[in-house]
Amino acid sequence: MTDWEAVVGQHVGIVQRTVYRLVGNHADAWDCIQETFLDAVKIDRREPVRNWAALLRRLAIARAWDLLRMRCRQRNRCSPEADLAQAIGREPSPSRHAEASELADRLRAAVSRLPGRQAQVFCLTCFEQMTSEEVAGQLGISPTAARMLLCRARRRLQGLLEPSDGAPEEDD
Amino acid sequence: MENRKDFHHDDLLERAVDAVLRDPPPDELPPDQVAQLVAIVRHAADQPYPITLIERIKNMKPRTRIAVAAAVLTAFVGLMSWLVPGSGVAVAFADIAEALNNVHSATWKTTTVVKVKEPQDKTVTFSASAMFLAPSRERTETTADGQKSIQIVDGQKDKAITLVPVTKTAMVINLKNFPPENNPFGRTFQCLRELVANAQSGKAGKVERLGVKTIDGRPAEGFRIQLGAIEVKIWADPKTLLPIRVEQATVDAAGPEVRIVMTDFRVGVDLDESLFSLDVPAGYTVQQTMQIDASKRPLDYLAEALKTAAEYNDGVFPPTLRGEQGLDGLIQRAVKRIDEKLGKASTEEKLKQATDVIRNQAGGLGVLYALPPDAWHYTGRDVKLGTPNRPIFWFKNKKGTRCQVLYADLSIKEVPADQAPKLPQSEGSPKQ
Repeated sequence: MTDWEAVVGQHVGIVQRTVYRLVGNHADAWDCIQETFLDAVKIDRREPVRNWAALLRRLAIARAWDLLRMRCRQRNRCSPEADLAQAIGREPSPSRHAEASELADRLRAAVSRLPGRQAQVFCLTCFEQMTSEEVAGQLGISPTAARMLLCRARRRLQGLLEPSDGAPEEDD
Repeated sequence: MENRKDFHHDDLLERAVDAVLRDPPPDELPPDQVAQLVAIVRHAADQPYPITLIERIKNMKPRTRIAVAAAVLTAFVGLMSWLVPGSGVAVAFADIAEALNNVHSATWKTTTVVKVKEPQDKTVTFSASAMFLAPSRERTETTADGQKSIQIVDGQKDKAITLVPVTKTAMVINLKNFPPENNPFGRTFQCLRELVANAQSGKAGKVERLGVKTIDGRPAEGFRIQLGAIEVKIWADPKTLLPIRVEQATVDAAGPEVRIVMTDFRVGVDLDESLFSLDVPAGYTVQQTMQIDASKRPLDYLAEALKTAAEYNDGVFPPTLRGEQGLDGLIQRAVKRIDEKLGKASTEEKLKQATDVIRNQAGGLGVLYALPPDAWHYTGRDVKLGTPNRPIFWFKNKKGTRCQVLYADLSIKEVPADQAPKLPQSEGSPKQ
């Protein structure tokens, strides 16, 4: 029988930090935190969990990425590419802090345009500061595959961060 | 110029990543919010399994799917071995040695290993503890993939139940037209003893004596018996006739390789009657019901399985009878189609259809397991369901004098062996 109080107590901090980096606000982060732990309940029913931190971090990124995509889809109902245009097209803020915050928002919007696997690898590497070997271990892929996915993700994000780029989404 | 542009891109990405990392980290969740989260998670974990059978099958890891299929199949193999004439088991069931019916209670352990070759090599092992209480009650507690299930059967009652404690769900199997004195359900232990007795008296047909060897420090006399597509080796105590070790293995290379070993037999064990109750315990939800009708002919079960396979294959019979494209892979194909057809609505209907497929699949495979592997022929490839006068499956009786034929319109006829269909490239034995 899983001690959920202990699992939540030990890992809620990691989950909160991971989702917040991607969604950027408390209300959405709280939704993602709940979804992450509810997904963990389903997995725990199906198979024994060996590494709670790794599982929860992976689930947290997936749920936050889902939310980012949903946010983008809602904006896109008015016009395609509007999500990025909205984030990218804002007038530069006079303060440096506002500029950094806007850049962070643009990156979040761009990450939502990545294929799921590339988004996972990018977030684990760049936000969670993991090595290719650690990312590979978390996702059950080879380090070479992790490096390749990271390379593709970076190339795609570089394009998306440029205001003129509107390249279509690609698959893993 | 190109390099400068790349540098600019990379710089922009690095700055964006840096901006995300520098975004002020959130304060820790307040204790009351953590407590709220724990309550939500606990509530979800305490709920009965929230998803239906069809979703569970879809979400199962391959090894779990195999274990589920094997568990269902195990029940049907015994049933079909009993139903199919000429499979060799009928003799053992028919000739019950009165002296061997004195055991009141017994326990044993079972280890099952299933090896599947398609779509990739996989091996699944699961173990069970079983109990027998006279006259014909059995309880088997199986653990597969860390999940326990309990099967309770009573040969004198017209139902059996399967309980899954972790999800608090139950499956009820209704048995129809089973003669009470010859009901194979709940008689695993008795049937084994009958088999030993018949083997020793030479009544069990093709019995090969394997000699005497020592198992767990005890002398054991061995017999090898072929039951349809299953080879059984029984190592029994020469004095008590009690089995010491029983090994069952499939000899049909086309399907999954199944090996079942029964050990640690103990008799005269004190067992509480409540362990064998067929009442669904309080707090459990009946998730499925299933009916098995013993009045059907063996080919009726195969006809139902092939009809189902054709219905989920655009009205055409599958290219092979065994393997991933045949009956072995039927539930995986069917679940996908059911899900596509019914969408997100009609969960109950999805569950019903998936249950029907599993029952028909297990019934069809049970017939094949009960027949010797070189006794049947299948020619259904590319044949449309309903085509008249087109044989798709046939097998000869043990003496080779009569032949049972299943046609594409699902009619069944028995013909003299010399009038057996003669079609080239049939799946099964080249012998006609």
